[in-house]
Amino acid sequence: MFTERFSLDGKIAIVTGAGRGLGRGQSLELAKAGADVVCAARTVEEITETAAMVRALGRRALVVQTDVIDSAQMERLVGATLAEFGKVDILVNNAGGGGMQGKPQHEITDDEWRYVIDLNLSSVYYGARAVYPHMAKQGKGKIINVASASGMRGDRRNVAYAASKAGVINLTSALAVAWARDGINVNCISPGPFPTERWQVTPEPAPGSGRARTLPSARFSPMQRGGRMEEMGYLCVLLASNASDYINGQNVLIDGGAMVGGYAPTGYTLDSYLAE
Amino acid sequence: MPVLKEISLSGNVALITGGGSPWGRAIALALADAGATIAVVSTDAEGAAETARQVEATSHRALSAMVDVRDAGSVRTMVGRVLGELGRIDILVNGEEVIFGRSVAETTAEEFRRALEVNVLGTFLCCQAVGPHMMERGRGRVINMATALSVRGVVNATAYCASKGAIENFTQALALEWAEYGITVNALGPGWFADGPVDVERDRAERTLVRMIPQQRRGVPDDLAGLSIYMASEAGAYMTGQTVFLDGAMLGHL
Ligand SMILES: NC(=O)c1ccc[n+]([C@@H]2O[C@H](COP(=O)([O-])OP(=O)(O)OC[C@H]3O[C@@H](n4cnc5c(N)ncnc54)[C@H](OP(=O)(O)O)[C@@H]3O)[C@@H](O)[C@H]2O)c1
Repeated sequence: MFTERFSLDGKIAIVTGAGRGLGRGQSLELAKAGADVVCAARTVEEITETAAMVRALGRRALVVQTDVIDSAQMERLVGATLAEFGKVDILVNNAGGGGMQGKPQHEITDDEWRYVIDLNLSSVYYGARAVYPHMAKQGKGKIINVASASGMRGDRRNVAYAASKAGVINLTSALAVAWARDGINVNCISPGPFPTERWQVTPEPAPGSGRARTLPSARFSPMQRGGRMEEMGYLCVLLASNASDYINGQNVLIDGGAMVGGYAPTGYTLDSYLAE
Repeated sequence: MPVLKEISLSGNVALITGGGSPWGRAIALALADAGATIAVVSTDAEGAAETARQVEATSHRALSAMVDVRDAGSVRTMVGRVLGELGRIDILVNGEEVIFGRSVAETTAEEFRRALEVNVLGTFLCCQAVGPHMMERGRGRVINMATALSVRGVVNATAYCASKGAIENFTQALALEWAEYGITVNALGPGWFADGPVDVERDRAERTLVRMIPQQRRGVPDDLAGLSIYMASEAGAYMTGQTVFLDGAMLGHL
């Protein structure tokens, strides 16, 4: 009765940034919940691998090489989805990143600034705009954007990223208000520390080296661990499914309690407080 | 139908206060549907018993009991009884609440105190009574009842707003305190809900209200089901301290 609302049986989902990290986690849980998944990113080998994992779960998958910065490519991604599956029910605007870590924040060039805003914020709008007509016509659709805890606090190493993610949070709310009457839910997820494969191999700079630190692990999260890729996926399934039909315009945090008073991604760690 | 196995609550026991209200009942039925055994408690013993009957009608085990959540002794006795009969408590839903709207001029100190006692002190006492058991087992789920009025004001509801604002902040603070024990503490934040059918065509006030909700409908108790199951289950293990609003996008423009 109620648990069935979590099922994504017969749904078509597009996931951007599906090649690795959180996007792969989202793709696999969406597939386990029943969805067919369109995997988009720039690196074809990686999305091909995610697509194979989706197929191994018994679902259909489509690989569409896409640079989310380019709105024409986002339109083509949605077009390819419609051509293959005839509809689109779920869009996860997950691709993003591109920090300016380690760079003095007053030296970001115009091009660098625009790149980060385009990658994280404009891409979300391009994706949402591209699926809107189809979702509105079908009277139902779920758009899930991925923002960041950095969009809710200052981040001294990464001001463009912080601003772009704050933009995603408000864009989410604005689109929800604009499109609720069309039966479309627009929500965003703000992940706290989710150590991806990439993080774990990043060496920590020596204390006092002057280089900004990458988050060493999740030891400042009150739960004393980082998030798991599947956990990102479960939340994605909740927001993609009928189980969340009245949740709309929300920024949902998943961070082991970090942002309610534990660790916030400001670029200050306990060590750096002590060092300065 | 494929459904994530991580939302299963099979083998879990959920204790739901205020379980006689339409919201408590919807949550009880939802958690039972995901496999949990249900203990429904309330000052409204008849309502709690009715919820237990409805849960049992879906072939899930349920018991009901009377409690005054403002009274530490009553809460301890009730928790003892639930542990005695069901052996464990995995999920605590603090659903007991008083809802009332009155201007400051018309609200008596007694009424203000009652709102804070049931909504805030009651939540505190239930957490305090169940906490040691959850800590000992290294796992637990607490779900509190916030509302859109935890983060917005409305005319003629200072007592209610103050008590629910407290719940959001209580949720954050307790989440930090219990994070290391594997206990998550979150809250449901319903917007404008109706507990029965409303005639939008005939009722002018209702029509105006509904127009203010971008999704063009009021929430119904069943809308709480999905999020409750998520927060109660293994799927929600990394979410804590959060109030998640269910409001048809209303907070997006109000
Ligand atoms: N991991 C965390 O703890 C964390 C925390 C907060 C927020 N986030 C957010 O979560 C999202 C995913 O992060 P992640 O940690 O999983 O990152 P990741 O491991 O670097 O993966 C990023 C994915 O996005 C794709 N991508 C990057 N630029 C793209 C572009 N221009 N066009 C299309 N695809 C692009 C990448 O593929 P290609 O490079 O092949 O295109 C890759 O598949 C991002 O929006 C990030 O800001 C992550």
